[in-house]
Amino acid sequence: MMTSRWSTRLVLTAVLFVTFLIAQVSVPLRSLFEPRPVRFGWQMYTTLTYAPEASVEHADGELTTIDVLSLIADPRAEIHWAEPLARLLCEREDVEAVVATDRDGTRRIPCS
Amino acid sequence: MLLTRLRGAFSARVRPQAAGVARVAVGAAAILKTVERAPILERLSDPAVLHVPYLAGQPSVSDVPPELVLAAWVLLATAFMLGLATRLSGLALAILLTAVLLSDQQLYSNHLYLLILLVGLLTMADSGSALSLDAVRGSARRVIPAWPLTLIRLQVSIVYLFAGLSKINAMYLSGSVIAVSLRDEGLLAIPAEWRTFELMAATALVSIMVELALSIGLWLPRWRRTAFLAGLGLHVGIAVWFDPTLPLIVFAFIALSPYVLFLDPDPRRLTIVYDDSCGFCLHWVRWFRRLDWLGSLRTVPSSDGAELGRLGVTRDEADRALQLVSRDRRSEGFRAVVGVLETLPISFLWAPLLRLRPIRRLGDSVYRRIALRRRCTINSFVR
Repeated sequence: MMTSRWSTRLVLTAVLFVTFLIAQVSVPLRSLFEPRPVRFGWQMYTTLTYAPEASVEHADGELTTIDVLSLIADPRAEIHWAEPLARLLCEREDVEAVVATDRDGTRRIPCS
Repeated sequence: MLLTRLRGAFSARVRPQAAGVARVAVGAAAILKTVERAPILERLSDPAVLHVPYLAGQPSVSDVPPELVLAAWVLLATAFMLGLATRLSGLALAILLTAVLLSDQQLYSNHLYLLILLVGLLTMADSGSALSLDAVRGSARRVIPAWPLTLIRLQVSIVYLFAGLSKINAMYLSGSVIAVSLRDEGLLAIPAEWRTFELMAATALVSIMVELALSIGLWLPRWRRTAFLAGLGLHVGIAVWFDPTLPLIVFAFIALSPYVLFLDPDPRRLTIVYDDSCGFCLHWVRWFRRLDWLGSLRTVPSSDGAELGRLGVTRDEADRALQLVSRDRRSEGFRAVVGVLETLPISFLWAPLLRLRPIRRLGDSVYRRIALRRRCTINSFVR
């Protein structure tokens, strides 16, 4: 049944429809211009991804490699792992810094 | 003029059967998704495991025992699938899944995101109006709003479009992503010798073309059958030959569920003319009627001379083989059976395969032999 005018309900439907479409197109469109993968961009199997890696640096300068996969739930490639891993590992004793590798490369993060 | 057409589009109503079928499939996919997500939820309940929230201090489903989250998920997904209090169960399921998705960055999944969108839009579409317990209990509606179903179809296209476009990069086009992702062990493992640059790069290019083609092909009546086959082939192929298996099987379910919404919704657009003096034929027609969940088929017995005349079918033709009459064409025998299968929700995705020449020839031959040799008994009438 077609209505003969734009009722409030119809206007709200139209607004919802258009807003949904704009969001669903603009977000993945923007994601095309960012390093893969990006969340909400429908970027599935778009590039090679690697699990994060980390080592802890002790006071004497020695490095100990950490089994990162035992510390996390899912090594999603969208996540910038370095800082969360550093925050976790810095809680350990005798850790001066964390050397972490994620999608942004390898960084040394000192424990403050 | 444009405003009038838009008004019509937003206020249009359709029959609920296709949405009901999609709802059942999406609900089943939501149940399967719990099996895939459960290990991650359980890991996150371990206080020693790193949490990566989107915002510091935000609430998380991992604050709740994972068994409770999963139980609620399964219950709501089951209720949604069965069409029990569909609006409520759909809304609650969408909210729960969104909470899971946004609780922790490690819980993000493109498949889960698509599932949430489908559940939400099917809830808005009142998909519980057909093929549901709600319908059995009397809360069915003869027509439902069309716009959420249009949004679902557009969403499917958007997913394929951007899944394809985002693969246009040197890394993917080199074939290395496919080479690394293929199954390494088991019966369906792809040997290392096959993972050559040429083959992998060609496969990568084909996969992009298929995804981009699907984003448009599903909308074009002329290409729709091919698109159904291509989509089925793409998702089954990925689930069979790629690792990890379970998430890809679940994704195949999620992705293929809304395909039924692309079937022509015109009710009774196809007419089957069958020999009603033959029990064998009646048996098959009854099955077609039972499986015609979308109400696409109209059946006319060969004894109805007036209707046969209107359809341009002779009694001899109707008695010789099943006839399928549509707006612009007629087919008989095996081809009529294929035409029927292409309208049924349980077979529309794979039935176009039966049109391949070798299969069609075999089908024609088998149908003719069966038609000649059939023993038709109905009441005391024996052919």
